[in-house]
Amino acid sequence: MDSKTKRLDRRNFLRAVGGVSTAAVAAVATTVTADEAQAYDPGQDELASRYRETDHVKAFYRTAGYETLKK
Amino acid sequence: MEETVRVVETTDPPSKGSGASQHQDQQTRADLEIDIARAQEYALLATLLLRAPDDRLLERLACLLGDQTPLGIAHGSLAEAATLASHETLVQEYFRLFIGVGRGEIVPYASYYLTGFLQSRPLANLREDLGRLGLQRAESHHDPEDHIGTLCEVMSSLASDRKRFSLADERRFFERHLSPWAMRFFSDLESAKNAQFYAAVGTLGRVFMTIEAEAFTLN
Repeated sequence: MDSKTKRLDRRNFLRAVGGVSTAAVAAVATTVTADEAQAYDPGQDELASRYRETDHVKAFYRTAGYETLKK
Repeated sequence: MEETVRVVETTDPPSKGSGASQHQDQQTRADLEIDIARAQEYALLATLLLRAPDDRLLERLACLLGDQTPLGIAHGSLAEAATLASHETLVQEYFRLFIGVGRGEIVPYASYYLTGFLQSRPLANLREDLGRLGLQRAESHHDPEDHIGTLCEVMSSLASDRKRFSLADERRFFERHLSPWAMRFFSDLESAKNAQFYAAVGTLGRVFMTIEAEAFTLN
């Protein structure tokens, strides 16, 4: 019974703070999840190059202390 | 949309035997609705944090309706911020905030927030937990998994699949990987000097993290 009461609390709490505006998020969120798996697209400028400055590469420069070399 | 339907279908039958009353069934349904709403909130945050929104998404964001609840107010502000923004300006804002030359104003990785270094122990712990949950990074995605956007995406998956993941799984993941730093991250985003549109994202994130942290203690 105690755990059931707690469960109701959680539900009511989440409902109270979210209200109806969460329904509007549904309309937005369902359209955005579709393109989550998008591959990185370098665009026309980088077609010739195999080197791509992805966030990962930038993170490497950052951690390896290359900041001063990299402009 | 498909995922939403699938979740409802898989958990639709009453979980208790013949004694399960209609009332209980309604409660299960209400829980599902809430979990789906939470999953969508996380999905929205993930999308906003993983890349600058395009104009189509901005149009939709501008239609978000606010109300008087804490989340509703944050949604209202986000909608307003979306009407003032364009994809072009947001690409720059996103770059200044999270990427930058050398580094952005904010480094959106758990490892950096918790240890001061990228790709450190918190990332290793996260990978272990993701492995346990049967989740892994998509091949097309090269960022370390402890990016705030990725963590929101994981939370979205956990909340939207009650058949595979329990509330306890979710709580554990939240407490280990988000609650130690996510609130601080969103507060920083809210007050970042390069943030305009993203300040509203920061507010939404902070409010939502506060609610989530509170809700997990209730269960």
